[in-house]
Amino acid sequence: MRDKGSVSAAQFFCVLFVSRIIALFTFIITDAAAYPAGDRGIVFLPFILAGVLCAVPVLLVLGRKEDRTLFTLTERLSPAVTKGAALIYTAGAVWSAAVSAVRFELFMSTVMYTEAFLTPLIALMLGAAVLIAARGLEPMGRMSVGVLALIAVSLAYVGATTAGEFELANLEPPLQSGVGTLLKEAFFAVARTSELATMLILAPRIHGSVKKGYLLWLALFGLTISAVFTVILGVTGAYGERQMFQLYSLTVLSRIGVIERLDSLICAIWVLCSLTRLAFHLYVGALYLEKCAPVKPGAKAYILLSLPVFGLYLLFSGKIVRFADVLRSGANEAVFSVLLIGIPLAVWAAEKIKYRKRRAAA
Amino acid sequence: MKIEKSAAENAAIIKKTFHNSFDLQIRFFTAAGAPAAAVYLDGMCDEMKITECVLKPLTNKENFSRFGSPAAAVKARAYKGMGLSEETDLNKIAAALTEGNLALFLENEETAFLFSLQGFPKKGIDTPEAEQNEQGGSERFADSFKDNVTLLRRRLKTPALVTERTVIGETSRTDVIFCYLEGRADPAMLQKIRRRLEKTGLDTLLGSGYLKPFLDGGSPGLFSDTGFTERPDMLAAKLAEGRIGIIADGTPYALIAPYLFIDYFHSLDDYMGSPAYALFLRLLRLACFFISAALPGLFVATCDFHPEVLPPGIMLDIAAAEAKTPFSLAFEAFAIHLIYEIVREAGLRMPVAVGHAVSIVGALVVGDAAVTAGLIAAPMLMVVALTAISSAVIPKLHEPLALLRFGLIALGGITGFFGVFIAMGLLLSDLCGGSPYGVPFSAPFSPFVKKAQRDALRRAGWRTLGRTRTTAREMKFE
Repeated sequence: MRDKGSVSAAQFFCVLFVSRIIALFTFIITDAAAYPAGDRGIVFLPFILAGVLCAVPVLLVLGRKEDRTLFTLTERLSPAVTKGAALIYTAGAVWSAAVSAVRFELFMSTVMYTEAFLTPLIALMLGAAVLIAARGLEPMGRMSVGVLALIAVSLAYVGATTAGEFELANLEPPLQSGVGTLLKEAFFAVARTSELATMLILAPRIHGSVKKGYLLWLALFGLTISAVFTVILGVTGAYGERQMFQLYSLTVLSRIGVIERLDSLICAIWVLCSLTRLAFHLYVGALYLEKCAPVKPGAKAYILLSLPVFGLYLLFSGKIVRFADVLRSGANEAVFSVLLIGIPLAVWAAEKIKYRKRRAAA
Repeated sequence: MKIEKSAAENAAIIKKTFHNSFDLQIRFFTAAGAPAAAVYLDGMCDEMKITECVLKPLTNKENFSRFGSPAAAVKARAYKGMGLSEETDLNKIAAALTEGNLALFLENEETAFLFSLQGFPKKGIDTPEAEQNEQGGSERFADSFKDNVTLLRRRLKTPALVTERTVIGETSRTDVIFCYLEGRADPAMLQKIRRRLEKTGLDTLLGSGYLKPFLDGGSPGLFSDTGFTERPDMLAAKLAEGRIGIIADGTPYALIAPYLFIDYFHSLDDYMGSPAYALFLRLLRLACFFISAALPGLFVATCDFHPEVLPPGIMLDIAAAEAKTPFSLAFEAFAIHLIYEIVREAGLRMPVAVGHAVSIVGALVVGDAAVTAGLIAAPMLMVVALTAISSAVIPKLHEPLALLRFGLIALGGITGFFGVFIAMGLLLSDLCGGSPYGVPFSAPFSPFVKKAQRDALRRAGWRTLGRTRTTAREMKFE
């Protein structure tokens, strides 16, 4: 029987999908600045390409049998490297969780609770995330399947009820800014997917092929992004383009007969996705933390990690300009480059060199 | 403690063990030509059986010496139609007396004979009360575990039906029976249940409900992954699916393990009608679950924080009705639900005749007087009524639903939809979290088990379902 710390590939990529799609839902103007509207319908093609290229270092670390973690290699190098890498990845998980919390607060304070003091609610959410993380990865995987079903139903409802207002004329022609911009956008889109780094520690716990699952995930996620943006832009046109939360602006328009303005109810998927994302980051953060500190993954570790997450959240809470500056500075992309490309590539190369040296000496 | 050679002395020790209890009966007589003492607990043994099966055959004028010894004579002459065993330990003999056995001590014999002559008063087989069915059988479990096993055997006439007996409770020494179908129940699951029950450490076991926490696995959640039923046909159906039944003596309910979330929405009637109607009923029960859990919380959150969700006409009507009441919506919802729980509890505990009166008073006071007096708005009362009726559709979930409802009202009143959705997330995580015997509580939906979909939300027709059924072991995740 499988333990609660392992998960099937399908469930793992469901968690990743749910955790990732909230970034799409809370996609804000700062992200959109360098993101021409016309390109969004075809962004899935370069997204898949960039996703495959960016995952190469991770796949090299996992090995052919996908039974290694990053720390299998760092332990062969030195304990200090293990501790250092683990510390960086723990910080990365905390950072990603905090950014998610700030993005979510920004969304809630804009659409649902205008000008309300949301800090207690975010604290409540973090507490719930701790509880969910404490249940383990497998239950989280099962939960994300349920959340994914809700997302599908909600998107289908919004799509079906707004389909009548879809205008082809609202769509802009693609590649107005050239192929280079499209590729850059695709890289940034993948770069916001900090969850990919979790494969570096979770791969041996995933039952099934990580590579196949990842490719399928990339394709499905890319297509979802393109489809959702096509519908948003096709229905809302220039109006939607200027909205801070474009998917939300579409849900506001959905109606059936006298039933309208269900957007507050549809916000359930925002809440559930954010909850899953936070729980997932706390869960993975605790696994990293175990490698660099004597703290076993469990409720205590999740509570411990939720404190810096909350601290970072407080730093940016309500300070949209400061937060936008951080996003614009490319901090997210930098974190991504280090966690998903830099460290795995360096560790893999160093381990290879050390292995060859040892073999030559023997 | 070893048995003594003197029958009188043995009887005295037993008397001392029972602290001279008045219902301990000791009869000295000559059995098979030797002085003997018969010891039993008054009311636990059938007097007629004692006379006909023990006294008459052993005290007649027959020449018992031809059997060689009084003990051999007892074995040869005692009535063969009852249970007869030998025991040398006085402590075990004392325990056997509490189970309705008669102990016969013979002079100069180092073993005592135990006659199984149970004859205590017990209730007969009744009709189900908590699990009503339109077309199912009309027998419910009784208090006696032996009757319950018989009820089960009558429905599963196969040697594959295995019943294992164990005793739990240091003081109560309650008989507990595991039952399962050999070849369908998972041996690992069985082993786990046996081990869990062995470790209960209970002193008294007065109802099968005592065992539930030991059978439930994982972290404590709102929902129990051990089900219960008062219907022998329901238990038989679950055993056919590879589940394990646990029957405790003195309880007219059997426990079922593992029990999945979807099982709470199944009823025997689903299998009697058409599959399409069964699907409709199951969807209806799921909707009632959602209404019962979330409607009051969502109503409070909608009216207090998100009025735009409701069509303007309805919203204005609700606002007009609420404007006349002095309390906040959340307080109103909380108070009426509390009153509903009080009325329900009173109706449950009071004698049936008075219980009806309590319900009428509750309905009049809460339903009519409170609205007329302007304390509660009519829309809120409608929400509470709908919630209460919905929760009656799935009575087995009343306990978690009541707690959930209060929690959601509080969150809805304080935080609006946000808190309600967070609670929903936790609820979803709770539903997905349990897997006490390797079968996830959320199966067969997450993880998706294709084969089990034949009888999950929809039910396949008997032509398909009759051929193969999915057993619990097929839903284990490996």
